[in-house]
Amino acid sequence: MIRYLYYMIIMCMLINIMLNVPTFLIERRYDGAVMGILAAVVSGSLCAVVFIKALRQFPNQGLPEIFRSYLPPAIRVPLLLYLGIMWLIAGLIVLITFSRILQRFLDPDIDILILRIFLILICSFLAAGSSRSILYTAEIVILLHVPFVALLLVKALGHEYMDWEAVKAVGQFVRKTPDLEIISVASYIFTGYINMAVFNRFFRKEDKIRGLWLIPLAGFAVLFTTFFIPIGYHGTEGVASFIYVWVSTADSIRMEFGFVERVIYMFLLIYLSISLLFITMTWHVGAELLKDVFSKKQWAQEDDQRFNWTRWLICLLFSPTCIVTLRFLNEKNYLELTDEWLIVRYISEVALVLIVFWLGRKASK
Amino acid sequence: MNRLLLIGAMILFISGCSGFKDIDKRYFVVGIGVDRTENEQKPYRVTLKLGIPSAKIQPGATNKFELVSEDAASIQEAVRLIKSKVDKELDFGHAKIILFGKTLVSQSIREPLDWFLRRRDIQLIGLVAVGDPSAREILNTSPKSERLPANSLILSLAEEGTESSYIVTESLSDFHRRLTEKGKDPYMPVIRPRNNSYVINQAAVLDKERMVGILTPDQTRVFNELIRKHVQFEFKTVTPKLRYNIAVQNYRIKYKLLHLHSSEPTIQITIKIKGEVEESTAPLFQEDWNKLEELSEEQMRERFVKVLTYLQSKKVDPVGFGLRYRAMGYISEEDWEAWQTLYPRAKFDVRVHIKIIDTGVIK
Repeated sequence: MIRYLYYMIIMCMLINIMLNVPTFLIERRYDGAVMGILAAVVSGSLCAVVFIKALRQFPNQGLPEIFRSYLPPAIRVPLLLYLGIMWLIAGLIVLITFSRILQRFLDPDIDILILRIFLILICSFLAAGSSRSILYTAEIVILLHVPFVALLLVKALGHEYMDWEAVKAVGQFVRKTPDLEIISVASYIFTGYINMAVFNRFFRKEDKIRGLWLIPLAGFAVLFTTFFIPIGYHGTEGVASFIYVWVSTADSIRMEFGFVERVIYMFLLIYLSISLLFITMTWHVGAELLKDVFSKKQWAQEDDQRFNWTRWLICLLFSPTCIVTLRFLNEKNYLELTDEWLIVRYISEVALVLIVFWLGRKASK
Repeated sequence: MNRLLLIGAMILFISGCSGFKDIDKRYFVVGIGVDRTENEQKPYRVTLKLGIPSAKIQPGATNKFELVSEDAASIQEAVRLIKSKVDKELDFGHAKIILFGKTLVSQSIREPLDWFLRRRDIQLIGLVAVGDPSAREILNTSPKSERLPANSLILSLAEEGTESSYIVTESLSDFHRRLTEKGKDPYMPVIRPRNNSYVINQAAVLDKERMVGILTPDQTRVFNELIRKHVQFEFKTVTPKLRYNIAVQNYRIKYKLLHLHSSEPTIQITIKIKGEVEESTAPLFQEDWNKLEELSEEQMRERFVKVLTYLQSKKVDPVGFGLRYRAMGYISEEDWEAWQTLYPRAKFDVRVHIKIIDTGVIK
């Protein structure tokens, strides 16, 4: 089962483009983003390792079960409510961003509301399924798409237009100290492990966790490419003019002998699948956490396969409400909100890791 | 029953695609040209080259197109006006060629460029060039060998077909980067019409606002070697005794900025060339190759220095010495201001190392 942990981590590493992470970092490229990336590698991997190790104390248990046995209801209920909503928002942000990108670059005539309704229906349907089937979906999607992403990155790095002087010029700003915002946005790359909050239910005591040292290495590589490839393509100054900087970067790469010359279409298709997977997984986790608040009984292994209305209801009620509220926001407000969410997420994530670490210590005594 | 309901619901949604237009109701724009008019009220003349599809592809016969022009105060207005002149929906998805008229480029490029970057359907891998005398005239040409409208421009500029050391190519994305980058200036190929065909053998160099000069074909070749990493080129060496031409298979260019704080800042450029003799007026095999190499090196050096000093005198830096300066760690505003005074008085120290590999099939 342990390989599924890595699929979750890879998924979050890939999805950062949809969560405005590169645009935010690039905006701050002269005030600490480079150092912020290095700091985020340390902080992110540390959180990941501590969380995963602490959860080893609770084999076959998710966060709701752990909270049930160690925390009083007065703390457990608001905590789960808050975490569940944070998870749902994560999926929602990707859904909104991606539907916007699809509308802009694939078919500007399409009604964005209909597009969103369809995405919500599909993702809710998948998210309402069993946890195991979501893990299996994750495996298929990741295995099918990572080779294409790798091809794209290799192509991008070796392309004639990639300007390493610009990369070096921005790299010279490494001495600027980053602020909390930069670290919190950059550390998003490492967040994949946090989905273990629910999926730990399927990780048995016998499962050995190997290869944790890969997390900082892969994270650094992903952050480096996500930040520096756009700079190499659009220059130290021009890069700041794009809203979805990676979509524009993919549009700047030409693959003469690809199926389609414009790499942007390959890029959009890859990200369609990865976004759907991400939305599904985060909504599933969010719904599972919220479901436990409303149910009296503790979750048991056989519940997973059983059809459950609550998950459907949670996804279907939550997302339309948000989409209606979002109609009052334009792209600018929305992107600012995303950045703010990323910062709140970082603080909550560190807090959650500490809580789980503390509970783990308690359990081992 | 459930399935039927589901299918029924899906059919209901299909009617939502009301904005969709079939391919036979679309006009594919294959080239966009922007020129400057005399009229101050309507300064932009936008010309769209609309491809007319044919059932069978034949060189010289199926490159049919329609050219529509409109003058307006902005590019967007002009495009809207053009829409009222044609019967089909304009589709910019295949607009790979973007031409700017020479008069427009000599005045300002920033303002008209914005529309191209902001539109989602203009591809960033599109190719930009200067049309001399005007963009419209270039778009109006249809070479005999062309199979699809505007295809021969794409073939030459994207290096899919011919690859010449005289043709510099520039994509919209790279042009935008250079236009904004501190320490790297933009350039564009210049296309001129010649009896129903084109000549592309010059390059226009621009500062951050407008064109400041056009290089001669010989300068363009050297310029191309400087800014690109792998062009195939050839050059000739003339000595009192004989003349020979060397075709270069591969070369490497490196540059260093030296003595930046002294009174004589130097830009040192090292070029390593490997090539074979392709043409000669006398047998070469028995000559002293080292001597030949030295002669070529000297003449090559002069060519490079000439182009570099020309660019320097125009106060532009398409090679990116300024960016290198920043990459070396001079990142503050004061450093950048220092570079502005540094670059115009920098000395070029060009070192050429040529290695002749063979003399071709004959001695």
